[in-house]
Amino acid sequence: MNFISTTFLVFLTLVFAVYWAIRRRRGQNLVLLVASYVFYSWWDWRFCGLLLISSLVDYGVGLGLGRTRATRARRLWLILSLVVNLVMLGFFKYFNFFAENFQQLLASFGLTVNTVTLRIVLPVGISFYTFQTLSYTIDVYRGRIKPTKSLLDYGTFVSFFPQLVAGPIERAPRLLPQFQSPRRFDAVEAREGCRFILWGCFKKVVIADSLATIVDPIYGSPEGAVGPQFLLATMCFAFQIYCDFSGYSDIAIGTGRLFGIRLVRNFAYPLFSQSPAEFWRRWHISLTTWFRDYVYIPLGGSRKSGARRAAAIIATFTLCGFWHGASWTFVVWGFVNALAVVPATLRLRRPRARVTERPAGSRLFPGPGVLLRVVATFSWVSLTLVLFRSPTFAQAGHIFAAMAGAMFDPETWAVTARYVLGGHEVYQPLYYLGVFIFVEWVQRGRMHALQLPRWPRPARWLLYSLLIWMIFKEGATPGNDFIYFQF
Amino acid sequence: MRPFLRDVFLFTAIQVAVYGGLIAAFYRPLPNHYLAATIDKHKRLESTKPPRMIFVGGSGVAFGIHSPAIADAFPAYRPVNMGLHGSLHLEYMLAEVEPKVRTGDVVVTVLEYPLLVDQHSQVVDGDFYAELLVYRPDAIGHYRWPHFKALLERGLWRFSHRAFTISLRIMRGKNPDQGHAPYTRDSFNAFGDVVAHLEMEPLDIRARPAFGGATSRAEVEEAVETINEFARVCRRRGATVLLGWGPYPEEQFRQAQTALRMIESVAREKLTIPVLYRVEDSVYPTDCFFDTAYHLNRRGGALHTARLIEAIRAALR
Repeated sequence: MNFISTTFLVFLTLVFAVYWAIRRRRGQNLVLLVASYVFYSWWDWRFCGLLLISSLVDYGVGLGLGRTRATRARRLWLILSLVVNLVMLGFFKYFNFFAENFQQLLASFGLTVNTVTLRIVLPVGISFYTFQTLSYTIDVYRGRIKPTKSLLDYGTFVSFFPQLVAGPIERAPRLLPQFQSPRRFDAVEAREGCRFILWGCFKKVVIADSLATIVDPIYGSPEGAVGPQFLLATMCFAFQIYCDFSGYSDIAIGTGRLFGIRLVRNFAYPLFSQSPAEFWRRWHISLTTWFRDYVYIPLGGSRKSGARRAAAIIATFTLCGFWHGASWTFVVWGFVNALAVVPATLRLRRPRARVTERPAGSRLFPGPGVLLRVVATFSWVSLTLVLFRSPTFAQAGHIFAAMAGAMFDPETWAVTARYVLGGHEVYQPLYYLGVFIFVEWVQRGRMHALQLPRWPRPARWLLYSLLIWMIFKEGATPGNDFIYFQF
Repeated sequence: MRPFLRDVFLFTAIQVAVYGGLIAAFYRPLPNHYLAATIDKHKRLESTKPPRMIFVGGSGVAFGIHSPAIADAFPAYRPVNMGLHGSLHLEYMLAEVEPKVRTGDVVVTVLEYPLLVDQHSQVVDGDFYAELLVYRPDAIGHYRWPHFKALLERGLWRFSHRAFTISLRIMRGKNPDQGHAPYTRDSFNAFGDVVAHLEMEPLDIRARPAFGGATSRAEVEEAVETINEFARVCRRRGATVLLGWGPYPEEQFRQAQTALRMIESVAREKLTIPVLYRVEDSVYPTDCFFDTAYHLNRRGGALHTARLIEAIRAALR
């Protein structure tokens, strides 16, 4: 079930009504559990089997870990969880990738082998909930949390529908206790939830989907485009993927608030970061902190210095890239991002900006130094996204070459100017984008752009109505799925 | 919770009042919309006395059959072309005709292949099903779960936005866009054939591939059972049902022939009605098509109609 559909609106209204009609905690959890499985089965009911297996195995592993103190037994329980989850993820997401690469490797030695490739449908959200359940067993193993004895609470924690298919990836110590304690309706939270949902829908439907009308044709037929068009499309893609994914997260967070559940913040205005390292602290926070806690720190990254730390960063980022998709382009994307982060992490001359801090300082008009760093970081991030968006290295290479070659060719810039001014399907998304960047910049000290406590209610309602009108209008064209559904 | 619910209700009511009020005040169904042709088709079906020769199928039937030639070839029958759109799905196409079949009628189902593979595979964006209800409200009785799901996903949303846009134009005294020939109601002739495209320049259809995907035997058997059930009812009423294959472009036939032959073999094995000709008999050169692999142009339509006349004549002998 897609968030951007009338189906979801009806579904959410029904679940909300039933949920708050029940006063008891267990009953509320049961409503959420059933609703989550209905939500997930909307794509394909067979996917629910995987979700159930993952939940049952890790629930059982949690209980097993809770019953023994023997190191060897505890390690075996953890290995069971890791194997089941990673095999499931590996099979559905990476089987064909490994089979094809194995075949190519043998072919390079002159050996011809017919490996099996399967028509595997990637169950939506598997990368997200697998990581969530894994974090539970690892945290129980490490003694950070006690295992839950309630299968209902645990099942609700794993399958909670707002964040099931594209995060934020929650941690048990933060989310599970919320399902274990009674919830009372809080109107302030619910209103805030509605504002999160509205802003998330706006980002997805009005900004991301309209930018797709620029990005998709250029990346879809790269042979017909010139360098500056690639530059434009690439920068637009940076905003598209940000609005697409952070829009999803906002809707998830807002939906959670309607049920009295607080989900973790997933984006903190990353495109206003002043360095690649800061960008990665503000982008997809729930995933980057997952990799920090379960990959980077165990690799010794936090305790070592020099080469060991650099190696840990490179390994972590490369794995993070591979998590995004079964393709070498994602692996290299992760690797080049690591290269940009390593120097700053090794130097650490100034204290890190916290994600809760306003990015790029507090001034409305920043100094030239800040502006330069923001623009440079954004440019770097955009360029690396060529690897993320291109299906092959050949296409990425073609795009990089076209961008570099066209820098001093006035004719290609003239072609691009005509393209931009040629039709409203190009300049309208850019106009929307301009307004959006301004609003986000002004509001970057807040959790989201619709936090306007000083505005009187009529003005706020007028603004909400305007946003709803734009969503209604732009959403009436064929929509795109959320980009991160494919991961 | 009450203040929250009151505010949500009030805010929603304002939005609904603005949008809904405008639509209620100004929206009118577009008289020349392509789907409005369903009104004419049903009117002709109801007003034409039996024995009739009723053609059932998707838009391939609307674009590819020349009813005047059928009328000349079979003077005892009055042709009615019910073909409109493949997205209506097989069950719907048969169900809308079934109550109106009378003794002596001949129903010729000329089916595009996707209709036989998965009866709901042609489900398109839900606004199509919302739009159809404007012209044919009782169509809702033939909708199945995939159609309701499509309606709910974004169908009603997209349709209400279109209705809102139309209402705005009407409010400003402007004419709303009703579509372009041949996808308009006035592109049809009195029999229900699309004729506007006969005078238009055909497009190159090679970039628009025809059906040719993987096919499951069980799905074809399910479609065949639907046709058999329809034929049983028609037989009880004293009508005859025949099956012909929709047109297929020659250039793409080689790639798809395994799937098409499988469909044909299931049909010949399980169908209780005559199959008029072989799959390859309705394969035509690419330049016989108008704008998709389902829509024939003037030359293609003439060839296809001649093929049908010959086969129907043999079947009725």
